[in-house]
Amino acid sequence: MAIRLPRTDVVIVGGGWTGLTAAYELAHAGRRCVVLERGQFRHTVPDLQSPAMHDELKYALRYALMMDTARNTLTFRNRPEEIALPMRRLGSFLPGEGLGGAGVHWNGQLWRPLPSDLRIRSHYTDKYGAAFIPEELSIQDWGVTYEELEPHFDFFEKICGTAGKAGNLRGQKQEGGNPFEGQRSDEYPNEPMKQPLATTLFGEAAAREGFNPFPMPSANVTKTYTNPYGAVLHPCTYCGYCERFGCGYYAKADPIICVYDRLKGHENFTLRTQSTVMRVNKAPDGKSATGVTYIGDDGREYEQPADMVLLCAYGLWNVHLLLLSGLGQPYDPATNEGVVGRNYAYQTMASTRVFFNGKHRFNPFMGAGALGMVADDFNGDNFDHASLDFVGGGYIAVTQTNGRPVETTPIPSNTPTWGAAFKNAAREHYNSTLTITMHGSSMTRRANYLDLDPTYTDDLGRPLLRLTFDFPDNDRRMSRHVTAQALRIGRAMGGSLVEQSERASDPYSIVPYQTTHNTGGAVIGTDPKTSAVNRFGQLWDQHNVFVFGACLFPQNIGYNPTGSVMGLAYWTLAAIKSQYLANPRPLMGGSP
Amino acid sequence: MPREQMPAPGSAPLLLRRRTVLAAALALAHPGWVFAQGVPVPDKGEFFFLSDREARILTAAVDRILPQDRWPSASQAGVVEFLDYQLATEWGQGDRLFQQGPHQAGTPQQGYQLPHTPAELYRAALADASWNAFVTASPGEQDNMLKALEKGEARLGDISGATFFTALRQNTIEGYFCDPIHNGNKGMAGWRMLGFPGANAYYLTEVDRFDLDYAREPSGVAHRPDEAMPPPAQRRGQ
Repeated sequence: MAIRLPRTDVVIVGGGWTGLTAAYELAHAGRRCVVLERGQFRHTVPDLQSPAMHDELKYALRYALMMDTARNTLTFRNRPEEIALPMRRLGSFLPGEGLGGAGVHWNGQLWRPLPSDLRIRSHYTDKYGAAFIPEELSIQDWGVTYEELEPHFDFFEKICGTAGKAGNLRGQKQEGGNPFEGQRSDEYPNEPMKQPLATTLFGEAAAREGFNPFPMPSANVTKTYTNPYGAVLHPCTYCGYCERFGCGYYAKADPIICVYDRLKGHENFTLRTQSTVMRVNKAPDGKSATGVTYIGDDGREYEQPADMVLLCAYGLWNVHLLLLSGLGQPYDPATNEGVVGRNYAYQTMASTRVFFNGKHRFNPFMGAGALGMVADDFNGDNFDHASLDFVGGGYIAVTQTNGRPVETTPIPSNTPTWGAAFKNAAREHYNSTLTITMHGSSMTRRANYLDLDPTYTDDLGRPLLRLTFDFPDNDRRMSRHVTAQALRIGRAMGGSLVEQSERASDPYSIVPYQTTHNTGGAVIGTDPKTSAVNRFGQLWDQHNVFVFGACLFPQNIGYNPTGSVMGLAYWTLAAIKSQYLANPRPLMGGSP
Repeated sequence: MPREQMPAPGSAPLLLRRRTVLAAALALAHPGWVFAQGVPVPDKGEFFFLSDREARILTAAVDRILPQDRWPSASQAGVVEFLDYQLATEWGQGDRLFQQGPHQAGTPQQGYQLPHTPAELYRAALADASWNAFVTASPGEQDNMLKALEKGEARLGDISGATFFTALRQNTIEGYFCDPIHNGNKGMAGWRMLGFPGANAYYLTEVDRFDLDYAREPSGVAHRPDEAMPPPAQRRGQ
């Protein structure tokens, strides 16, 4: 029934950061790569050009660049006892669709994890004792260390032309950088962004309060720059249409500019857009995959045989595809057995507003997605947890990303949200209010997981992914503690009013936007009982299937995920090139 | 120090000029409209989706959400035309809305679960007879009726007042502050009110100038002053 296509060496599901990078690296290693992207072809020029791109309604509010939830979505509930219902429109998070994926509409906040983040259970156990870790948490070590990933973090920062300041260069502390970060082998490739008044005031107040502020590492680049693939990036114009938008100025690193344009003519590279992969096909003995079946842009069903299958969709949809394909054992929270869908986590966001009532002009419309100053003093285990009752932490930052007016009406909490008083307050506070963000880690627990929905289906008739999630009490305690620090800085800034404006809701709601940092569900590790893939991202049972993306995170760190996602991607690709291609096999023992 | 370099928004010349410009622009676009106290009253047949009754209700309602002060009210800034176009086109017709059943009431955390597209939601909610008294009620009475919806104390047929009010408030803000190419934010009134320069996109030399009084004429995404969105495929009554 399906049209059988000629065999290829590698079939790659998804044309975003991980998929295009995998194609680049393996095409240049002599392997024929076919990338299947469910969304449209699109390009910086003409699809992301200004001024048409600078349309807040179309892109930020009607989600023109994001996944089409009329066709495919997920169902959601807070607790396993509830009936999950469809996420009928986007809200809490915004997965992408089309060439470049969510890498087109990201902010460009480019972080590495802390060394201790990657061995979290061991780290807390060694330092505070095994009893310290709350019993409800199913957190675990990644099985891969910071030292192993460091060259790959460094390389991806160069792919993006990242603007920043090192805080720890080969063990030497550097003035003006993050003193808590792991050792870097090299300085950032570009100088930090210019800082506006709001972020500068935050940095000054944080320093006065004893914090160690530094400029946020940014993939909005600060000078004309050629990346290791030969792609040229240009200086950011601080246009204020960054996150939720694509960059038409070649200034925000994205997969189209940084990877696709340098790969598109390669003889080993084929891209098929509007091609939705239905399932990964298993060999009769179940020990490997034979390729994928997909619906092409003509609506017909194709089988693409391949020697290797790389799952490079957005993390949630990688998990969906594993479940639909019967790859790995689905997680069952009742028995706590199985691995696919296990350890879903999110990001624990909170914010504090500082009102200056006309005393300053911040001009928030002069912004960029990763323009900000950060204090990392209360992230990870950068602060002593011995007297505290939680694991994890978060960074505290002021960013100036945009002043788009539909999204930017900061008003004090005692002001009505409509009517004459609202209108007056919206006008009064628009240009003299800033927001301190608390970007917190998200720990895993048994009741937070992904599986297939029993009722609702996508437009191709497949069960929707079902998300069951609420914030663990651990994370609420963490958020309260770190938010108290943000309030302390806020009060030191000289504003007329400081208020906590948002916190981790009780229970978690899928309605208000929080962040597009969904993690877990196909986690990396060294034990097939608690990880879906081995420490190289390779399935335990089907050795020619590799998984990429934030679905690999065993729990979520207090940082934005893309740097970690791409560090893992290059780590996996290095293992494929150096160990797997010449001798395809399981790269780790331990298969049950 | 002065916060705005533009003429003070309350000054008579600007207000008069804006009214004149708005009225002239609206009169050109909608020759059938009558202007009473600066508020365009839609005449029959001028809307893509809304009926005259619906338009009158929405005009009154959005003008309580964003009333006229030194700056135009929501309807004066085109919010009703914005809503009409939005409801007549993709978003209003359910674009990107997952519409598969069964539809069942969920928790607030699970979000919107009604079977209605935005156009169907507005049509069903505005059909409720309680709106008949709304149009002629005093502003204070109108506010009380909207507050009852907002708090979920009143229903509009089978639709929760809070669900409709949340949509109406959000869409009013959108129409007041969106790019004028979407028919709202007439004369860029919403942008001028805030001091937002619109689709301008180059602040490389200004971003680190502290407390800069950036008073530049706003600009939108349109390349021509009369550039507009294409008409919907279907209009009311067709």
